[in-house]
Amino acid sequence: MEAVMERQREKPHVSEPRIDARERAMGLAKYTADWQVKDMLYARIFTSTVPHGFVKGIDSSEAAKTPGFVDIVSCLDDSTVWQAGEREHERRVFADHVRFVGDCIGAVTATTRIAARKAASLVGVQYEELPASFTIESTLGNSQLKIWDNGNFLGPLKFEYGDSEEEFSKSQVVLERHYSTSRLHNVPLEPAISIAWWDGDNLTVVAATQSVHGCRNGIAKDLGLEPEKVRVIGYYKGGGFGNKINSMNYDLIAAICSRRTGKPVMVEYSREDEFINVHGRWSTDQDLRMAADRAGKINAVEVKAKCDIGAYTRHIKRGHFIEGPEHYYSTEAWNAEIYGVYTNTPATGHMRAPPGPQSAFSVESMVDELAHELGIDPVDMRLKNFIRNPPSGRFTSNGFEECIIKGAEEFGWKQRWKRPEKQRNKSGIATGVGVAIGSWHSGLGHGEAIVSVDSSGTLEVNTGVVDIGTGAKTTMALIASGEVGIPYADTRVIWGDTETSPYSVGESGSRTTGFTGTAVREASRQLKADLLLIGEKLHGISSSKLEIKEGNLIRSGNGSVLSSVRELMQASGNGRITKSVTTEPTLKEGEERFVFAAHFAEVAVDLETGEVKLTDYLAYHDSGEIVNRLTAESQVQGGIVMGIGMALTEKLLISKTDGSIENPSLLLYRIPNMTQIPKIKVFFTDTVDPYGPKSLGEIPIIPVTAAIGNAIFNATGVRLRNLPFSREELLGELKDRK
Amino acid sequence: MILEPFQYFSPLSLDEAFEILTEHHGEAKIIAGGQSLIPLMKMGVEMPCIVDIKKIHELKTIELSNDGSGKVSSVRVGALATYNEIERSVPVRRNIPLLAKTASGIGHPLVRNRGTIGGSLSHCDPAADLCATALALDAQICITGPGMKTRVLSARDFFKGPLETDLHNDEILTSVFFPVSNMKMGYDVQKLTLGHGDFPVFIVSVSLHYDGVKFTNAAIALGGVGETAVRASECESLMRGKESITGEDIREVSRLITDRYDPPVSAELSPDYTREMLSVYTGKALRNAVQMVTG
Ligand SMILES: Cc1cc2nc3c(=O)[nH]c(=O)nc-3n(C[C@H](O)[C@H](O)[C@H](O)COP(=O)(O)OP(=O)(O)OC[C@H]3O[C@@H](n4cnc5c(N)ncnc54)[C@H](O)[C@@H]3O)c2cc1C
Repeated sequence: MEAVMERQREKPHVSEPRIDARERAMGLAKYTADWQVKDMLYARIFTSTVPHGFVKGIDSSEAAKTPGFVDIVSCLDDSTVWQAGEREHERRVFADHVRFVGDCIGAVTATTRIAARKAASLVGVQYEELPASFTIESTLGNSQLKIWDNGNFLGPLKFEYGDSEEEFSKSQVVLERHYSTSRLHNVPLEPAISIAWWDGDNLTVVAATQSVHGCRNGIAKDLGLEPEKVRVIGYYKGGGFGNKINSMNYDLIAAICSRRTGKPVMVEYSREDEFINVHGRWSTDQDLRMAADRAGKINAVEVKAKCDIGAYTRHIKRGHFIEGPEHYYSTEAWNAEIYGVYTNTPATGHMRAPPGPQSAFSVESMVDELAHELGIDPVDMRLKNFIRNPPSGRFTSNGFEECIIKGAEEFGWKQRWKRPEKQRNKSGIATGVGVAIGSWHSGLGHGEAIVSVDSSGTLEVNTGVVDIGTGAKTTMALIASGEVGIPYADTRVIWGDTETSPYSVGESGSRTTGFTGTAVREASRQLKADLLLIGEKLHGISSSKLEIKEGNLIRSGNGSVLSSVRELMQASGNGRITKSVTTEPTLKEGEERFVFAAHFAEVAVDLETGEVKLTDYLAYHDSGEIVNRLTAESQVQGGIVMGIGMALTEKLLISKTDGSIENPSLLLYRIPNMTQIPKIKVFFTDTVDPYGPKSLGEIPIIPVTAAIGNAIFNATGVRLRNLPFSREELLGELKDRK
Repeated sequence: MILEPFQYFSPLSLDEAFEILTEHHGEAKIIAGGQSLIPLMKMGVEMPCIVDIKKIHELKTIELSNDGSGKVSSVRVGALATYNEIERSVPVRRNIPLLAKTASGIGHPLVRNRGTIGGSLSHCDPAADLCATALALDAQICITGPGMKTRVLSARDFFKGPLETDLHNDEILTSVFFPVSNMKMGYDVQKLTLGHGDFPVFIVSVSLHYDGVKFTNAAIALGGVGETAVRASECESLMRGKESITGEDIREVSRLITDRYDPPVSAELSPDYTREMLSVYTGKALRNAVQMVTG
């Protein structure tokens, strides 16, 4: 560790604005909603008005009278299954068994958006209503209820190591607490949208997807087509954070409506539709027990959780609704038992580190409670317990300790942290600081890339990324440019179209830089080797004594320029040299690959109103090599902002009477705005991982809520255990204390 | 999305505007900043005829206005002045700083760039920021109708009920006069919102005048606690004429206010909390205002 910390960075961080920053800022970037396709029609979904029931009849006579009406399709005449919509059960695109208010029953196609909307509002649906449940308790307590025929919950998922009974009985201190987190929504800036058209039996879809290839494969499977018959285009995106993952039901709806009408069809969701019809984050009810000895060594953790996963839960694996903290600490034993419980409420599914922040909230709050109980500084508590190696095996790299130590140093933890009772408050405002840590997986996997250079010396990187907002295009260009030695400015990227680009894993699970980036690097290496060989021939100097820098072939050692890459290409007689590469890196036996972070927050609490203001925030991350400092920093800040929302402002309000969402608008569902966000300082360790850059997109949201909650405790002595933190609850607790 | 089609007019003068309003009597609706009207239209409220007054330049002016003797007696704020323009206006900042402060706290920058004082007062939401402050500052509201017939009303008489004013539908609110005082001023505005940039649950607007010896005027206006914004006169009289306002006075006024006024129920906060906050925010506003005077 010392060695890592002392070592100077070999090269300063690259920090480049996004390769398409100009297009985006100037409004030239063409998003799906900007596509104008000739003769395009507009489809509008109509949805269930009851929480649970069977569709018995559909009356479209009024709808059909609307000027501009073209077609109506529903569960009565289309039974396509959306396989990516629910892993454990069959979920139809148009439900005949509706499971929540808003479940999609059908779609109306019309010549204008307005006509489609009006016509859809006039469709009459008859239901046979069924008993429904809107909470975990009522689902588990109602034997009449049949949200799904084979049971209304998933799990338990049991995750265990060590002998936790034994550890609990022999530990000196045992804490037992309940924590809860709320249902949330991803709220990407761009609501769901898709355009589809058919050319014979070839389908083209312009999709707002996080993965053009995943989307293509999903659509092909669901519609019974060969993947080669489906082309998916996805250039510019307004974010997804997991809710544009793979193929979406609106892609299928566009394709179905287009096939029926013979015209291109656009399906476009409003913000309200987006809240109701696209999934968000599940809520959790967690009972935790933690055992430690007096010196602060955590011996065992027990987590029992039930999660409200709505009526559907996309592709989340059975019981994987609480996950992550078993990789923060070296405990002797861990014992988890997790259930996902269905309710007649809108769907849940992937949202930035799907189970990550819910799980970190409870564990990282509890570690803080334990530290307080034992009179130990919360940073020291983490240093005593953080994971150095997984229970069986070793990490490929581990900068956890550096994150905690250096983060605390940069934040000034030692000067700022005092025991809660010693924190001063000035004119009714109490300030305090908090820390929380986290880790997240960083897999390796299949990558494909085509990297080429043409006779003008321009470097071209072709990958199937979509750039959901992560800066993937920029990252791929930087990797290639750095590897080959051709300037970033002379690098172009081809992306976002299954017809022109090779496979790339979806931009989800923090995988793109690792998976596809590895292929780009390998292809670039091979390309460079070819260029050096051309140089060797041309100049009669061994390629081992040659290098390419800034687009020029230079002689190693004295650095004299021999020729430009363009001249090399012309001498070679090739119009273009292309390297097409597939990489499949795998971990060695016993290896595990993780990223790590430590976050530090400061809050100011108004003791008269209970309002919490976040006044300072610092994040220290180990994500291995950072390809582009600027976009990496933005990723971290973006994740933290989402975490701030989860901690302080965001909550889907679910109706107690019909399970519908009561706040499906940005007016009522409150994402944090700039006045609630302090300057967020971001640092990265210099950790070197043998497999290259590690993951980054998801981990930043993980420690945030606990860091803020711990700071509130430090400021006031009040421990809040329910998210989002409520000013009212805080004020109530403060008064009880007086 | 606005589903229903509507006619749209954009007159260049008041005369032209009245012509259109008369012709489309009963159907025509004025639009200024559109920050309340457009959301209503999106929610499905039908407005068959829209008269956009934004091109009537004379409604934009903010200026000092003199009484007969040439002394500055008030600031005239044109109906089309946006919150942002009000916040930045030198005459406003210098003479009626409470108005500038209130305007600067409305919604967020997008709303402040478009929303107008005329729109806010005409819309007459019981919890609107400017309605409360207009009351606290004894604003006079100037209304013009067909034939350029003009009448002036106090804010108190102008506000009639939730989303209801004394305006007839062929009249235009043209400007608002705010009286200027040469006394030392103490003021503040405090509000409870569910989220930053949200419409207030309630708002407390306080204006104090101090002549060096005593408080000659004390105004407390509350928004959100009744059908329209109201003046808490019974509390004001407890402070008016006093040489000093103590912490105990403030606590008493705050208590009285929670006894007398009912803050609205919101989905996210309990009635008890909201009620308690009414007294807390009143206390904060009064403390800050008093401190500005006695410092
Ligand atoms: C996101 C958001 C947040 C907001 N937050 C706040 C807040 O915190 N506090 C607050 O007070 N307000 C808030 N508002 C409302 C805002 O203040 C509105 O701008 C204001 O209520 C109306 O002003 P306008 O100029 O936009 O009027 P418009 O929307 O154009 O018109 C409103 C009404 O007034 C009438 N009208 C407008 N001008 C005149 C005139 N000169 N003569 C006669 N009738 C007229 C119209 O016919 C209409 O009935 C918010 C609005 C939004 C969209």
